[in-house]
Amino acid sequence: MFDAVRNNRIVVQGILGLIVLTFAFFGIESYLGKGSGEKPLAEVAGQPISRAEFEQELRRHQDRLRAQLGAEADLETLNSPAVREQVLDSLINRRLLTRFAQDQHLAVPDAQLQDTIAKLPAFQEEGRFSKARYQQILASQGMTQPGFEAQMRQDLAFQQIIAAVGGGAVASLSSTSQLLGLQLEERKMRVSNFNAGDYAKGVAVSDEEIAAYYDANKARFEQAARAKAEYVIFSRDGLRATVKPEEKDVRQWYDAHQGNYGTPEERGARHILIQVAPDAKPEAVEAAKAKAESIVVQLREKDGKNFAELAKGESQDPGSAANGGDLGSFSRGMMVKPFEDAVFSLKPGEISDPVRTDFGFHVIQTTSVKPSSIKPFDEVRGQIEDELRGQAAARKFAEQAEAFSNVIYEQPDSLKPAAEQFKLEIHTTDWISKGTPAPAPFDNKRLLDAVFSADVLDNHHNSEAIDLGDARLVAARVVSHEPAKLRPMEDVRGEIVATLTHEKAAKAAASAGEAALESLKKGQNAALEFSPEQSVRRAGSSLSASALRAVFSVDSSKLPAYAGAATADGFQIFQITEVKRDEIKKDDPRVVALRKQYEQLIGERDLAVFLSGLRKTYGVEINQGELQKS
Amino acid sequence: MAVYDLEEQEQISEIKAWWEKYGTLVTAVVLAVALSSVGWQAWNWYQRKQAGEAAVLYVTAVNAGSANDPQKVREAAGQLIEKHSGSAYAAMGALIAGKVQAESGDYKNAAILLAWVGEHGESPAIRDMARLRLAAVQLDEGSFDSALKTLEASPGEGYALAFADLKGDVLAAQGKPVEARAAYEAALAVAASSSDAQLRELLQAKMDALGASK
Repeated sequence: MFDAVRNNRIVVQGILGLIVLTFAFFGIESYLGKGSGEKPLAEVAGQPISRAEFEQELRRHQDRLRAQLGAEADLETLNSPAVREQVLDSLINRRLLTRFAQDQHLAVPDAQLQDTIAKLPAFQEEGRFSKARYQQILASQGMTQPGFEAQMRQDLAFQQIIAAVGGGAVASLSSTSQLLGLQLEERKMRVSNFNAGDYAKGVAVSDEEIAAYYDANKARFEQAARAKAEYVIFSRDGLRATVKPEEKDVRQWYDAHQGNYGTPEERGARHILIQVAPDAKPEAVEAAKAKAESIVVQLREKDGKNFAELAKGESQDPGSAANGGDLGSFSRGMMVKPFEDAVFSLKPGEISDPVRTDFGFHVIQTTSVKPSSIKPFDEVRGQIEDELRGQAAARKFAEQAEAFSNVIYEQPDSLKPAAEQFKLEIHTTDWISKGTPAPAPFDNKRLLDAVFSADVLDNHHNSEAIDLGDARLVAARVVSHEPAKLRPMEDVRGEIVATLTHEKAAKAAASAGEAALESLKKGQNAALEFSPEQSVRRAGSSLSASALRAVFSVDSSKLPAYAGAATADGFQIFQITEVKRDEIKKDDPRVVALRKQYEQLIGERDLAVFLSGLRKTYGVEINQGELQKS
Repeated sequence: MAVYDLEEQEQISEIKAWWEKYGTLVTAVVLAVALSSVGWQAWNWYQRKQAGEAAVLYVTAVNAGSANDPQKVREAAGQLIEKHSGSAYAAMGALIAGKVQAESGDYKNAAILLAWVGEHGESPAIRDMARLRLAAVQLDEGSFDSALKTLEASPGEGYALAFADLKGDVLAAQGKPVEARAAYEAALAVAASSSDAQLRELLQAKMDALGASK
């Protein structure tokens, strides 16, 4: 082996040299990255955007969309070509900005980075930055501190560019006040309608026209495939009736969850403690007990009126001695057992005999009693049964959901086995079809898709069990179905006649309207009926876009002026009687407010133009085929 | 063993002879590579230092802008132009300062800053952007002719519409409805290929308003 190396020294050196050279020029990636044979989705300045990077960003974007859209978000919208393109676009833009920032040596000062991180509310505790919280949150997100800071640095560098390009947009006050003037201009006008309905008399529609319309508009007379289905719903709520909680469980729940049904008894108490360790010698215990007993005697002599005073002098409980031994009020479960028993057995004001606990001997006085406000068992029993029934049903649902799905799948020719085994009712629907709203549960897109899938529609199999959410499973099968068809001409003849009649009448109305408008413009009287006067503005009016244009573009130097616009139903003539144009000053607060909005729009445009300039500079190649392949 | 010893002897003398011949050259090359590497590092270090200083000034300008302190913004932008004119920060700072000055009503200084970017900005898109902003400032200043002059040279494709639109605004403000109409029409011709219906409506409204005031 070594002889071979020795004899072919030149060859071996050559090979080694080549290896070194590839590392020098291409880096180690060219060895590691190759081999998967995967094509990048896009290249920005020669740098690939990998599928993994894209998928990660896509998932993040989808999560955001899902949070926004809620139930409306189905997989099709979330993964539509438009969404994929948008995600790739934002990745490309980030790359471009990163590259620009690098080339221009943009830098983020350390002070700015620290300041920004310290001001993020997520890292603050009681309004101040907390280093511990910062590290804890990063750790919980699986990020390292240098990684996160590098990310922040990049974001801040982007913001530097965006601040100048987008945030620096300037809108002229003059342009803005012109814009506001347009928005505020008000015209008073009256309307005269030429409605198709008034011109329908005498309109005739021939058989040839009907046939021609039918042939030209077949799509309108398509009837989508439709089906009648039967279905069963297996749900947690349906299972509620099948479970009955046992009396003892209800009782146990009540005992364990008393806090849910009111507040338990609370007692206030004070004590004097003579300390003695649990393992103290008997003499010491005796001495302490004697001391405690003497205190009891002193207290009882004065009916406990000297309690506070004695506690201050004698109590060896550093926490309470100073306030006269007062411990405040508490409920059961908060103090050591012998102490608690004493407090809850004394009458208010009564002084206990010395009570031994791990701390020593206590002399106790109960000071107040606040009785329990917990509702009696019988009053809340129904409520608890309901709660437990819900829990049991949920458990049963979880246990049996898979069995239900299996029966539906394993006996695909009928819903009966599942209905019998799980005691479900089989419901039937009226005609349902895709594309028209169907009653629940067929308003669920997955269920509707399943019903109209080949397996269910043509093979007459059960659909799979589909999760409707909220612990409900549904399975359906098709009882009868009609394929998509073209409705025959006889069936739709009436519709066609109505449509054509309306079209012709609207045309007649429009030409009558136009003729009337012409004579009005010439100053002749056209004897029209006008609506009462109303005033309109360009924005927020109920008029159609074409009507608005007509009203606002007409020359208003001579009033009344007349304008007209065709509508779906005929024609409208507008008589403009007054034009109100306010003189708008440049320091009008409305101008200043509008300028902010206007500048935002301009800034967005500037950023888009800037980014498309970067695209040209650095070169972006998008691999459409690869992008839409999921 | 002896065989190898002989061979090694031979090799050593070969190497010695080679070194006699090329030793100086190799040393010189290694030295040159080392020096240029050090020089390169130093250049990078210097650039990073400069960029760091420019970044601090720029961040100062941005923050002062948000705090509405036109004077401080202007000072920072002035220093950027003076000391870091080769850096992208100079143009970026001037854009920020231009806006802040315009907002505070100091049209003269705003125009100076934006005109600088219009000339020295590093990409055509930035220069067009600055010129458009400059024209808006000149319009508000009342220097209609300067504004029209600023808008004269045709911009890159992203800005054709905006330039024509603003030209229309200037002419309208100047009281030249016919010319303004022509400018809006040119803008509308560019907008025809854009999918933004709202923009077209707006241009149409501006034209309609001019027609009505004939």
